[in-house]
Amino acid sequence: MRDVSFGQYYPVSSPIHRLDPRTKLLSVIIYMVALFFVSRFTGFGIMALFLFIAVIVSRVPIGKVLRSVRAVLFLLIFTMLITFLFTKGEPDKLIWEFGILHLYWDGLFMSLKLCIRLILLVLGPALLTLTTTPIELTDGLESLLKPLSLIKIPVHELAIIMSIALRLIPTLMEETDKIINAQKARCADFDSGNIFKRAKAMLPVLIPLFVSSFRRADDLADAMDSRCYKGAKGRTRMRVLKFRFRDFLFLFIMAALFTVILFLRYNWLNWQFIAVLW
Amino acid sequence: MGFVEFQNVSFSYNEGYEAQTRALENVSFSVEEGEFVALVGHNGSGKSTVAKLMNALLLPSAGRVIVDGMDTSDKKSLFEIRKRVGVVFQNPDNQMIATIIEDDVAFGPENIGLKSDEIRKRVDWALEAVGMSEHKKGTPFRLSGGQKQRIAIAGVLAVKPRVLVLDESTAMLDPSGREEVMSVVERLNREEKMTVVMITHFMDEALKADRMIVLSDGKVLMNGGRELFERTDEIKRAGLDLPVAGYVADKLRKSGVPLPSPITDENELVEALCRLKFKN
Amino acid sequence: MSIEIQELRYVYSPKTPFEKIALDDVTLTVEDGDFFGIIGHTGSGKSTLISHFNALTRVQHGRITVDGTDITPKKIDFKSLRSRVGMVFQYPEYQLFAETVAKDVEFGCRNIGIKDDECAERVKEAIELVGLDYEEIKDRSPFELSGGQKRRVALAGVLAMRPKILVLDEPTAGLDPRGKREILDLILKIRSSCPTTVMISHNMDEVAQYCNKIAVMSGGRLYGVFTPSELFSQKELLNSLSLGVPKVTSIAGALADRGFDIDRGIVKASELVEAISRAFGKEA
Repeated sequence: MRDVSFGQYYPVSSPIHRLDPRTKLLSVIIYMVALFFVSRFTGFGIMALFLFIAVIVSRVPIGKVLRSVRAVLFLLIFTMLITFLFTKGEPDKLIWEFGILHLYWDGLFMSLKLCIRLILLVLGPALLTLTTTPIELTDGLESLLKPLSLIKIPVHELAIIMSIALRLIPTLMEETDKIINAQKARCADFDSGNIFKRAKAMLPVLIPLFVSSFRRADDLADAMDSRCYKGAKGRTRMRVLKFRFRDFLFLFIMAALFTVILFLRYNWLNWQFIAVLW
Repeated sequence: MGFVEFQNVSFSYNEGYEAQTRALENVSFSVEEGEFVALVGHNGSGKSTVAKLMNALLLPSAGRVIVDGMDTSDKKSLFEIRKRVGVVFQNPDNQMIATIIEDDVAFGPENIGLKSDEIRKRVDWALEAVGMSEHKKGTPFRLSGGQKQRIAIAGVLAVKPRVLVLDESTAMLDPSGREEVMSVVERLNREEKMTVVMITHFMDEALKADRMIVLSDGKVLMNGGRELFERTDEIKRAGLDLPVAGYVADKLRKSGVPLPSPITDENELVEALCRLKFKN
Repeated sequence: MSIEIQELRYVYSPKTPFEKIALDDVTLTVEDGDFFGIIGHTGSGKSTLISHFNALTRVQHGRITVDGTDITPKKIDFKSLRSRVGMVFQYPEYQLFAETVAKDVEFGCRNIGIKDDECAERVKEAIELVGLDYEEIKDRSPFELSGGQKRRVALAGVLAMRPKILVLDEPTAGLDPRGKREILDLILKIRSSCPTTVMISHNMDEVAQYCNKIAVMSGGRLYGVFTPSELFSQKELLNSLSLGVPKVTSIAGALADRGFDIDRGIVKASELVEAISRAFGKEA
C-alpha cells in the first residue's frame, strides 16, 4: 500500500528531483505557455524532444509518465474526431467525401496537432508531480504566491490547509474503511439497488465520518495552538527553499526554449532557414 | 510559589448557556519545577480541563492559573505561557500537522520564529530524546501508536517547554506503546529535569510519579505522595483502581496478616511477605 | 454455536511488492459457551482473524465453518451470517449516525428485514440489556451522550440483531477503570442470552479474569489455545512473545520463587489473597 499523500511521486534521486519546486513550477508554466505558441510540427518536435530529455534525466520510467495520458484519452479521441470531421479545408485538399461528410487534409493535420498539443500539455505537469512531492509543491506554491498576501490573499493559510489535508487524507481513508466495516457488520448493504438507493446507503458512513472529522479538527486546532501557532506572522521555516546554480541553469534553458518557440512562430528577423523548415 | 499554580480555579463549559456544565470547582494545587506529578481521575472528573487550563487553551471562569508568574488570562503573555507549557494530547492521529515526521516536529519551533539551523538542531535533539531519529524522513502512517505518540512528544519538546503535560496520552495505546511513552517521559524527567504533569487513569502510571493529585467530580480529592495508595476506600470511590499489590496488601491486612504500610508495588509486597514468613 | 477454523491463511496485497502475510496456518475452534480470549501484539493478526468470522474478510486459503455452515464459498447469505455473528469493533461509538438512539439501534435489525413491531421490541430489549433507560434515552441524539453511553448504544445496535455469538475487538479500549469494569460486567450479563463470546484484548488481567480459553497470536501465527492458568504459568512463552503476565500471576510467581507454597498459575486477585492467607495460617 502506498501513501496517498505522496500522490504519484516517483521516489528516485535525479537532477530533476533535486530542483527547487519553484523552479519546476515556473518551468511547467513556461512550458505550457510555450505550447500555445507552437503551431507547426517542427515546434511540437522541439517541445517533445525537450520533454523526452527531461524524462530521461529524471529517471522516471517513460511508461509512468505516459500513463497520465490515460486520464484524458477519451477527451483526446473525441476532440480529434470532431476536429477531423468538421474542419473545412481547401477544396483541392479533399481526402474523401460522403454525403454531407467532407474530410480534408487540413482537418487531419489540425486534429493531429491538437492531439499532440494535448498530450504534451498533460505530460509536462505529470512529470512535475512525478518528481516533486505534494509537500514540496505546497511549499513552492506558498513561496511563489507570497506577494499575493500583500493584497490580502491568505496564501499561508491556504498552504497550511493544503498540507493538513495531505496529512489527513490517509487517516480519513482508513477511518472510512473502519466505518464501512462496522456498518456492514450491522448488515448494511452498499452494493445493491439503484444509484439513489446506494447514495442513501452511504449516509451511515458519511455521517460518522463527518462527526469524526469535526472532532479531529477540534483536536488538531488544540494541538496547533499548544505548539504556539499564530498564523503566518513571525513564522519561520526549517526547510528554506533556496535557488541554487542548477535552478538558474534550468530556468535559463526554459527561457531559451521559450525564445526558440517564439522565433519559430513569428520569425521576427526573417531568417530564411525558418521558412525552409516549415 | 510553584511554577504552575492553580488558585481556586473553577471552570464551566458553555458558560451562560442552558447546557452549562461545571467541570472544575475551586481547584487549587501547584507544581514545582522538576517535579513529576500524576493527575488521576475517572472520565469526566475534569482532568483534561486542567490540561487545557495550563496553557491557556481554556481560561478559568473563576480563580487564577499562574505559569512562571504569568496569569493565563493575560492575553499579552499567551505565547510566553505556551512556550513554557507543552501539552501532548490523547489521540496520536489528531496531533500531527505535517506528513513528514521531521517537518511535524519542526512545526512548533517554526511558529516561534527560530532560525532554520536552530530549528534543525532542535528537531534532531527532540527526535533523539524520544528515540525516533531513524524515522525522521518517514511518514507517521505505518508507525505504531506508541511511536506516533513519541513523535507528538518530540513536537512539543522542540519548543523547549519547562513543563510537559501529557493529557491521557497513553489511553489509546496498547501495553507496549504505553511502556514506550512512560519510559521516555520518566527519562525526560530524570535526565533533562523536565517538569512532568501526567494526566491518566492508569494507577500503575501514577505510581511512577513523585506526587499524585486525585480529582473527582471536578474537585481535588487527594494530593500527596505514595502514602495515598493506602487510602483504598477513597481511591475506589473516586472511580479508580488500586494497583493490584496495594489491593492484595489491603485484603491481607484485613484478614490478619500484619503487613507494614505503605505497600504500593509488587516488589514491596513480595519483600514484605518474605520478611514476615521467613524471619522467624 | 461454534466457529471452526481450519488452516486459515491470509495475505494482504498478494503478488505485489507490498505483500504481507497476515495469517498463517491458523486452526482453532470456538465452542458453544466459550468466553474465548485472543491476545497478541498490534499487527499479530488478531483483527484479521476475527474479521473472517462474519465474512468481512473472505477466506483466501483454508476453511471456516460457523454454526455448521461453511462460509468459505464466494456466495453465502451475508445477512444471516452477520446477524448471527455480532461484531463489535474497537471504539464502536464511532459508527453511530442516526438522529436518535432508537433509530441507530434499529439499523441492523431493519437491515435484516425484521418487521416494525418486532424491531421496536428488540430495540427496547437491547437498550435495556446494555443497562440504559429505554424511555429516557430512546429519543435523544446519540452524539450528545457520554463516551460510555455511546459505547453501550453501539453495542445495543449489534445486540438488536439477536446474535448467537458476540465478537468484541478490545471492548474496553480508552475507558477508565470504572468504565472498563462496567463494560466487562455487561458482557458477562449479555452471555445469558448470547452465550458464546470472543474477545480481543491487550489487557492480560482482563483475559485472565474473564476468559476460559485464550488464544495467543504472534506474527500471524497461532501459538496455541490455553486455559488462563495454563497460559500464565508459562513465563518463557509469554516473555519470548513479549506479552505480559497479569500482575496477580507475577506476584504469585515471585512468591513461589522465594519458597512460598503457592500455585504459579493463579490469575485472580481473590485467589491470591486466599493462597497467601493460607500460607500464614489465616482465613481470607
